[in-house]
Amino acid sequence: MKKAQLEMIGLMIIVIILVLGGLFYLKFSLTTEEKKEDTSVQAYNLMNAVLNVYICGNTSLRSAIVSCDLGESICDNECDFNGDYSFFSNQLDDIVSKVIYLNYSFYVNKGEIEVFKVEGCKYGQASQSYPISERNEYYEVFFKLCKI
Amino acid sequence: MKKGQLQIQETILVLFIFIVILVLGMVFFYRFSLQGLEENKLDNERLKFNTMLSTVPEMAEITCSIYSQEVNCIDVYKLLAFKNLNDKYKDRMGFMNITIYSLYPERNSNLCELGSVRDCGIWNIYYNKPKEAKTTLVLRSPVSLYYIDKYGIGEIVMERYL
Repeated sequence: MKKAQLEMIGLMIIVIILVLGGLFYLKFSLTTEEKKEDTSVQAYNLMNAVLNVYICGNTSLRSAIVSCDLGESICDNECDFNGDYSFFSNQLDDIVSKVIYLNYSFYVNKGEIEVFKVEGCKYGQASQSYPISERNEYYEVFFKLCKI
Repeated sequence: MKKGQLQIQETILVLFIFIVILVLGMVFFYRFSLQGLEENKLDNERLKFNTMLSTVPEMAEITCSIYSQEVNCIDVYKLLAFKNLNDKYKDRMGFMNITIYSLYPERNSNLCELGSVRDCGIWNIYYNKPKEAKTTLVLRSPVSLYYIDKYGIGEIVMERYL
């Protein structure tokens, strides 16, 4: 191999090293890791706080879920998850809308059966299940908060 | 200049460029390693801080209990007592602020002090701000507030200074 060819190869190696260095620099400096905010704890805490609220007298929203599932009246209003449950859903919406400005979904399960749901949004982070055990009835409640 | 001298100069130039590239590479490597370590440290702090979102509202000092059974809510009367114990918690909690805002049944911008629990909505329960901080982490979460005869909803705002 001639001397000029060797020098060309040397130059090429230097250029390749420089380009690789530049690429590494770009890779590390331009990629910003997006941190996903975990809202499941917030959703659980919100659910706990909302269910504690008394909607009238000593009737909490938690007790109202049991009453509505059993088809009993709450706060002198008829409530039945299989029929008219507008009073319950209005109360829920009134409380949540004063506290948080996000769309939400709310689900009540009894065993495997879904007895009630408000589906204000589809994609979001759901809370852990929140157990309600009253009058020998056992329910699991979920809350989902969505950004959109 | 003789041919040998030229060749020596050429070798010196090549070596110089090579060393410059090597040093630049080392500087960049060091910089990114340091940045990575800083990010890991911040991630750890963030993780530790996130767990406080669950532990602070459940502290025996402020959580409410009914017939000595702990309930998942914050007793607003205990908040005022806790506020007066700020100094005792500085070693344990470090540089941070914890404030609770009332949101339901109503928002109220009055600061809660002894004797004004009924007509107030902001509890500044812990305050320890450093003179300067590189980063501030902020976390918010709804909490259940207990006022003897009713439950309200508040928002706990925790600011961590690093």
